[in-house]
Amino acid sequence: MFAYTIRRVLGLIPVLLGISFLVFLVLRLIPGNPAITILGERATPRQVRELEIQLGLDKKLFFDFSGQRNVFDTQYFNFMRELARGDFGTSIIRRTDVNTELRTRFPATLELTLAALTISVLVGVPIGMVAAIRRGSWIDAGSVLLALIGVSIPIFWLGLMMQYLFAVNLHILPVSQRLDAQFSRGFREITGLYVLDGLLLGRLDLTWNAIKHLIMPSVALSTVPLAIIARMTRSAMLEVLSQDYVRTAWAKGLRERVVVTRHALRNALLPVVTIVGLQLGFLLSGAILTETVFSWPGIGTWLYTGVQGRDYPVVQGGVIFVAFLFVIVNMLVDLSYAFLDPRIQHR
Amino acid sequence: MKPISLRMRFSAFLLLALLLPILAACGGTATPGAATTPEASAPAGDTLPSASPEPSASASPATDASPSPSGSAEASPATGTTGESGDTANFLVYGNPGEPDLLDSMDTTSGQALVVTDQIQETLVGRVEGKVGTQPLLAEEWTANEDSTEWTFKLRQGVKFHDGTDFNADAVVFNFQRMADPSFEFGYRDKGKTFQAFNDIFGGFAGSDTTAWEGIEKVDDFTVKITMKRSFPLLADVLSSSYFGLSSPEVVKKNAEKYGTPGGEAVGTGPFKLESWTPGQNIILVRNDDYWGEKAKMPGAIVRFIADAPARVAELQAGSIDFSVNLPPDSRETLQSDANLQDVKVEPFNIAYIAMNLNSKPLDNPKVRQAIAHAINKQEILDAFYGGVGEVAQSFLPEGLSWARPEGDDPYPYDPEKAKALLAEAGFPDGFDTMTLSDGTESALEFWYMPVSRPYFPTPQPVAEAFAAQLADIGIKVELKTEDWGAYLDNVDAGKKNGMWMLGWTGDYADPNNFLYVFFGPTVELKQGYKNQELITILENGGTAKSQEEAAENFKKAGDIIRQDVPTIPIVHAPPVYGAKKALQGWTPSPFGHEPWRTLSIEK
Repeated sequence: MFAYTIRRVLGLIPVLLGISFLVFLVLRLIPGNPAITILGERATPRQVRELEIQLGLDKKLFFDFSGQRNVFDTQYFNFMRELARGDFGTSIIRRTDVNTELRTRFPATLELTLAALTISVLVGVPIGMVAAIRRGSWIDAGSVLLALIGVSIPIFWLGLMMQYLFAVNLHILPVSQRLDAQFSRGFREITGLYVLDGLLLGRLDLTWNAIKHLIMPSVALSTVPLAIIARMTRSAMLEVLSQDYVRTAWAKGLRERVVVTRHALRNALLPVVTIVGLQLGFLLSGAILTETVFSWPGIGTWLYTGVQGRDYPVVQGGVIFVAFLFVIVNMLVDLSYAFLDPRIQHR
Repeated sequence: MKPISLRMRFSAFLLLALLLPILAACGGTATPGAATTPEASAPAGDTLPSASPEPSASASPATDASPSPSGSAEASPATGTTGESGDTANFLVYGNPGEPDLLDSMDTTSGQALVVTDQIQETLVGRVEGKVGTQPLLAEEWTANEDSTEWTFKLRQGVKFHDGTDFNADAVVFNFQRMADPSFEFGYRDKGKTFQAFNDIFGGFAGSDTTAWEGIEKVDDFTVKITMKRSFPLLADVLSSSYFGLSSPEVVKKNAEKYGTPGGEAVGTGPFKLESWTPGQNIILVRNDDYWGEKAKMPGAIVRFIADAPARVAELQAGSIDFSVNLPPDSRETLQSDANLQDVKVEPFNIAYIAMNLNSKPLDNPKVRQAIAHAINKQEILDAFYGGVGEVAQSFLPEGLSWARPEGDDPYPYDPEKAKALLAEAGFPDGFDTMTLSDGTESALEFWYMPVSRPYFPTPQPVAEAFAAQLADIGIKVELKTEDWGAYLDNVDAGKKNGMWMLGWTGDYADPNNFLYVFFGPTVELKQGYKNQELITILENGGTAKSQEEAAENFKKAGDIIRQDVPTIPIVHAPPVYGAKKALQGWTPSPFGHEPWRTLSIEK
């Protein structure tokens, strides 16, 4: 077990190195650069050149054989040197440490993602369950349709529609962002998850305000995972319901509720849990759209504007951070399985 | 098989175990107003830096004139300001189309930042409300010598920066040196400060061969003299642009490269003071009760960052913001039909145009370009895509610069018959659909539209489709293309855009060359393969003319040449859509896109 863990952790290093190299390269292959986007319509070649020098973008990408500089005084090696120190550098556009910006913005995305995941599990699992038990009924057909709609509905369209219905016409939910501005005055974050912070500070009004802001974006973000989880639960349940031990449970004359929850659901949920883990990637990418529509101050909007403005350090830092999160979660899931099921280590 | 529930519990536990350290890193200490550390790096978790050194909006400014770090913003967590919600009930709420990059007026060119710095950092020369024109602000009067190379500014006395330090000639010299002089000790250029606007406007930093800037010196405590290398009759207009907002030298030194960042301060003499900046969310400003002039009507303002234009309209309709700018053009109807909202008029100071690359044959043929100009129905475009609000462009200069416009009407009114005749004369009786590049390759005739909405072309794609249809009417078939905005600009500047493309410009200050020299100065040759040294000379003469009459004469002549050669077709001057609650009083938006909010008021 220990050796397996070490192997997996060491295996992360080339993966992350590869990712950092790729993101570095792709960013520089696409046309446009921070100097151009900072100057916008005002860019003249002379100014672009001067600004590039100021931003260190005039340095060679990988090796400098010009003799003017050290061979390794190049964009890539400077970036790697900083990375080795755990430093993602400074945003070109905002002059703020990327690490600080990540710290500031990650909790917002985490809160949104957790809320969306909670909704998709709490709604998706029961729908899948009922659809499986009442197989072939209108409920089953409805769940299939719902899943289809959930997977195919564009997030931004749904977001806009919700904004118009609940915020503009009914005035029951705020249009965008995380908190009404008066709450952010003098409010000091503790965890950065505002719902939780409100509770910790004993300010239920703040928690309630944060929840109100969270409802629409998390519902918009939850549609796809909800649909997938519902379908997954349904098929897993169908499989389990045909097992001998479930038949035995029926034969013993147990009530439906007991059979379904205690005998069937518990076994059906294992593949569902795996799927939930796999949704992380979707949630992070879906967060970009959702956050943009709802002006949610998370990693999504931050990366989006970073790409738009070619803010190299921001995009590099953001992508590496997200990738790191992704591989770590995956690795931990694998390790926990290996811990529970020794056969996996020896595959 | 082990029981599943154990597996699930274990996964849940793992997930928590993974997230806890991250959360711990995100959060700071939970004690508000903890002892602050004097170093400039913010402690982990300082996610809500307070930018106001005072705990309340009305504290006397003399208390924090000392540079001691106690309670200073650089590294202190938000000292539980008032901590009460609800005391912002009477604040203005502004929907900003994005987050500022920096609240350092001299080091940003972003409209979303300048709208905020306009409240905080004031300029020497002010602007006339809602118009193109200048009036005194921090300078009470100014004079120039005969050839406009020496300018003397008499400063207003008794003005203080928000930190209580005095506004005087030393402060002005400090600010301009910071911007102009690459070797200035407090410029922090080695830490990423760029001061692009200065470079842009004066053609280089102090000491460069190309710059018009000679230097600035203190004459006495309330007089400064600015010297230019060449005649610069529009200096006062230039200095009225928001880029030249003045900051407190003490605070700039104390904050170093962090000045104007979310972890730093932003301190000027303006009607509002910066209280806090919550990254990604909002900026809170409070009224400067020690303001030298007429104080702001409202006790404060909240600037919310809402990048999505439809979302800003929704916020207005929901009543959660009081006013906003750059709304989608089709929202004008929404604003007019909503009983609580108003569509706010603003004079356009921009131009939308179609540029042609003369290296893409047959666009090198002036007759072909004239035919294209006659084929475009500008009025139809204005009616269909701008709600008819704005002005069909007869030249490149907006209303505010009408004194420099060429005489007479647009020589290329919409006239498809004449366009076809010109095409026939050029040898294309049936039109054309290909272009031949300078290296001889032939391809479909490209027509590029921008991937982003800008005030001058709020909906580039449908407008491009309309242009394409109008060109098809005279037999010219184009292939519509777009690409990422960064690449789009990059390729235009590098001369890699072939065929035709849409672009535009919003002026920074009342100088015809801020339009004409930008489009038809020395850079046009690379961009569009259009070379006309005579035109460049005339524009330069216009810029250095000794009087407005002489300048106008040159600019009109330049306008005639551009009309004759038609390398670029001006389309419309269209105001962006601004919206506000009906209850908002006293908002006269500036053609330049942002203005101080002193006069704004709203009953809530």
